[in-house]
Amino acid sequence: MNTAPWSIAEIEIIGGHCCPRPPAPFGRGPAVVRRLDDPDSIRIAFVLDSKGASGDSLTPPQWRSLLDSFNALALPEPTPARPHAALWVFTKSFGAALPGCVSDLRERKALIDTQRLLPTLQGAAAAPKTDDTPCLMLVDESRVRALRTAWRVQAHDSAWNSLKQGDLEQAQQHAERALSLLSNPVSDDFALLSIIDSYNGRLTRSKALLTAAQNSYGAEFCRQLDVDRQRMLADLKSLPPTAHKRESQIPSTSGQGRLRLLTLEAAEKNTKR
Amino acid sequence: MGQPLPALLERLERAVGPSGERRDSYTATGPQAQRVADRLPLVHRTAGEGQDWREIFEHDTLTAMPVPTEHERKAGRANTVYFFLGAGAYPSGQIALLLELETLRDVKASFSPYDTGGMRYCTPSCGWDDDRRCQHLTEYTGDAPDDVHGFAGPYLAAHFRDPRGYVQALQRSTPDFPSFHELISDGDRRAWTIEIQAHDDVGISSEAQFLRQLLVVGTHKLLELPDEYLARARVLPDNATENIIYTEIARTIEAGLT
Repeated sequence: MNTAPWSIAEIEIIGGHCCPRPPAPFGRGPAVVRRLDDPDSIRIAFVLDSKGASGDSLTPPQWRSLLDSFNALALPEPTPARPHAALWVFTKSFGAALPGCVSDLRERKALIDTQRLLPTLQGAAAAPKTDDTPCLMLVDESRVRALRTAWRVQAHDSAWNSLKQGDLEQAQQHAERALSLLSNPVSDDFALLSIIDSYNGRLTRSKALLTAAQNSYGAEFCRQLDVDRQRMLADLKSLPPTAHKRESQIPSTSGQGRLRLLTLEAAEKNTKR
Repeated sequence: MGQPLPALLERLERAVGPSGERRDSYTATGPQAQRVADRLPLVHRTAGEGQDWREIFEHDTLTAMPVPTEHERKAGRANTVYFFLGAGAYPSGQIALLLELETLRDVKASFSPYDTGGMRYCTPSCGWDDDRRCQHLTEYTGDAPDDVHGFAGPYLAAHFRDPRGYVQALQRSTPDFPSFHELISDGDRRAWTIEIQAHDDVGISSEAQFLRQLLVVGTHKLLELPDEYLARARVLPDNATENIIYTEIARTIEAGLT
């Protein structure tokens, strides 16, 4: 990493070092900046504060490769740099919660810039806008320290309630949103998503998710994850079988992802295999 | 394509010299260096060739792309997948595959003791024409995967007092002893880190005998991976104040040395 920071006045933001795509609902990445007096001087601003931008240098071809490989996103238009700016990306999988989140950001005056572009047209200045277009937001993270945590709690609660009501499609979407929102996720979210995966018949994925948690966060995290998981399963078992009944009351949109003819007990048994 | 291993080792021996501190270190650390070298994985960072990273896992394939430099083309290379041995020395990309050398068993491949493309930025090769660069590259190229470990053990011993230093070294660092190939960078380790090129597409697998670890930055990537690769993934936080994947690659490799 180059240690000498570039001052805020000398740089502009041209993108961010992340590129989530559905089914991922959300991603966060450091801003990518370039010098105003030398557009070929580019940095991933792992640190961007009032002292300036510090981080790894990129050559223009390296920046292009990051974009082409979907490791990064370019803003359609460069934006003046601001301390604590980072790129937040919301994909269409984020769902109906997005307007509320945008309101939260505006309320806290944390929204530096909002842009949309098509991933296939990265870097294009005038990319058309569609419902599938990810929403790119430059956010002043010094103003929103607890916001993602609050959104994550809402998403988790929505997932849990959807699961209890038997709406597995919604449960899956909310649980994936909860998991994606924090840089250091909590065991609760892994536990819930793995249960929903198993109820959705994605048993291999359910187990793989637990293995990834073990790989990433170690034994203590996974002990807690197991406690969370057993608690949730016990709570589900204690429910009256209304979830099954409610399934028929939920209007079917796709026929996919709805509660299958698995009992809760059978799903759990399958997951343990 | 490559030089015979004895010829490369003879060059190393000449650089080490008949006596002195470097010779003493080389002799003393040789067995340990070989043990370290034998455990070094191939490291591939997504972003080097611009392939959509999700396609790698959807198709179980690292796609060989046209080589970017004229001196590589003159050296008879057309398409390549790049790896570094035992280091994430390519500095960008949010995904790193740590692959066992076994992955290359059915692929035509070669190795060199530096970043073949990066020699354009080293001294004195930055001042050479493509023919001279091609000549140097050819003289220092060996056959992979067969000769990689046989070369890497002595190479580590010849350049580091502690062979683990090769793994621990930062992106901007130099070995303990000057590079035997005499190319010098501005401090970027690509000037002396062993590069491996596969000259055709490389099939990959999530099985442990091929994939040691998959490192990804950002929790959202877990949701984008196929099931079999998800189980091999370790996620790193996306809010680190440094390029965390580089240090985690080194830590993962070092943990595998004991």
